Amino acid sequence: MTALVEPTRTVPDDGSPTAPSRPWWRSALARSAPIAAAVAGIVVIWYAVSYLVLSPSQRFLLPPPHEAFGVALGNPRIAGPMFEALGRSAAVALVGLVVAVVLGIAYAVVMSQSSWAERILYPYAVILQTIPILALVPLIGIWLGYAFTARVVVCVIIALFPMISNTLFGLQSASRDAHDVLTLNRATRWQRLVKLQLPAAVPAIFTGLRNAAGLSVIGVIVADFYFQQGDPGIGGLLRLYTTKLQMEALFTAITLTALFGVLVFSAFALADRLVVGRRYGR
Amino acid sequence: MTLIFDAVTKRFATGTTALDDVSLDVGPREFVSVVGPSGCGKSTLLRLASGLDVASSGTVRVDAERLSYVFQDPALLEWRSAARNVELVGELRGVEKQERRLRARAALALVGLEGFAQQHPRQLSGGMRMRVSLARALVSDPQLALFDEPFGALDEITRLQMQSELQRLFAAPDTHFAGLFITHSVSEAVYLSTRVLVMSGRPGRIVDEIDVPFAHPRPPDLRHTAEFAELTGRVSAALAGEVAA
Ligand SMILES: Nc1ncnc2c1ncn2[C@@H]1O[C@H](COP(=O)(O)OP(=O)(O)OP(=O)(O)O)[C@@H](O)[C@H]1O
Ligand SMILES: [Mg+2]
Repeated sequence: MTALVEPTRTVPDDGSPTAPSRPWWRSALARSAPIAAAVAGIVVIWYAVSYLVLSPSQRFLLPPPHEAFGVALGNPRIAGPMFEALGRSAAVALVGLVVAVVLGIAYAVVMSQSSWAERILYPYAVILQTIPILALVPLIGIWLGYAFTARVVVCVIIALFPMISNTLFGLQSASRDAHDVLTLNRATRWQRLVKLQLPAAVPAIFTGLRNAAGLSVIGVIVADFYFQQGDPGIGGLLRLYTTKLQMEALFTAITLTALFGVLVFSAFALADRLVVGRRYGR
Repeated sequence: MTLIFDAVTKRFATGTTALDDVSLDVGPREFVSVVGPSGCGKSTLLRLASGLDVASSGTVRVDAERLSYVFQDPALLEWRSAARNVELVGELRGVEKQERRLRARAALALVGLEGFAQQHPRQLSGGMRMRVSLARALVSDPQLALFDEPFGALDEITRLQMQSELQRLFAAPDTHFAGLFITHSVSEAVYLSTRVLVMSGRPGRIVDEIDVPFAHPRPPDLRHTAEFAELTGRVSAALAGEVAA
């Protein structure tokens, strides 16, 4: 993560004297306090339900955290495949996210260039968004198989819309006056895009990125869940544990998935704060 | 440098007639203010003068190689420092990097912001942002500068300061612009201008024209002289006649 955020701290073009005095990790820590508190709250509720609500004979329905994690993570024959599957899913989600980001920004840029392009192209994005993904997943499996590519495609379909809509909103967010300044200085279409529209869109692109990242994680779980053939992803294991009623493994897998989602979201929230917060004062 | 409006009418597609048979001219080294009730077409007038919009009938002739425009909102790019906002003009016009840096620095110095070149707009006060906007307008050494109520959103004290600043810039030996200045404030118009045009309510027409004979540069306490009061009185009367009619 250090590598991810360092460059934004060292952009050389301004010696701004008002650089925040707190180091970035201190503010990151302060900002993650609420989410840490929420996680602690969930653990407390989990224990409470396990011990206070469920009778000992029902406790297998929600084994307390230490038991669930102990059984699953203590057993290499469960933990090993679980982390492998998580790694596979993470790779799919990340590739899906990258593809969605590139496609989404490109699509929005094309739309932003004329009201005609927007009118023609926007409906496709809306349709993509409104088709229930579960209706498409089996078809994607038939066409593309059940491995990496097909799973990435599911992620892309789920994550694409927020990228498109946020980027488009951002590209259109520059004020009329700012556009007039460029017009009066005879800016070319390209100059308008790279000097005004794209920089103006950066905060919105980050918002899109955060949402798309979360959705991409959901996308890979859905894909794993339906594409049982081949090496399983974490979603595939969720289904396996459910059918075999391996409750400890199931809860551990759910927890890992959730933590992965939170991690991805937080990474982008942090990048957002560092890039947008610093440059754009939002 | 000359700007000439000859019987210019502007009708929008919505059916609104913003300007009706407007004729005016601005010559070199003139500073002309336009006052008029809200919605009478003052911004439209500037957009036509700048070429951002075209007249429905009549002719607009602008004989100026370099023209600049200052908006009511400073319209700065928030992700760029003050210096880079001013440099934008050079970037768009293909001025070489070294050169445009120097010019941006000089323009910021002209408006008294040499110490704030690296600050981003959000770190500057409203008055300072407006100075950056002025620097951006002056960096290309315009022959004609258009101002659309640039000080309208500023507090009274800052506003008076900015007026002094602008008339000093107008009179400075290293600037060469003629100005066309839109404002709601009668005293601002008289203080800054060599001539004041009074517009009627919509559709906007020019109903009066008052020469302001004071020499530039003008001291701030010019505002307290009897001659000044007499001129603002005349502009106000012309304006009031319009509002009443
Ligand atoms: N692009 C446009 N399309 C349609 N009507 C417009 C357009 N621009 C301005 N108008 C109308 O033309 C009239 C004059 O507008 P303009 O902005 O020039 O007035 P103004 O004198 O600058 O007003 P203010 O003092 O409030 O700034 C208004 O009635 C406005 O609604
Ligand atoms: Mg206006």
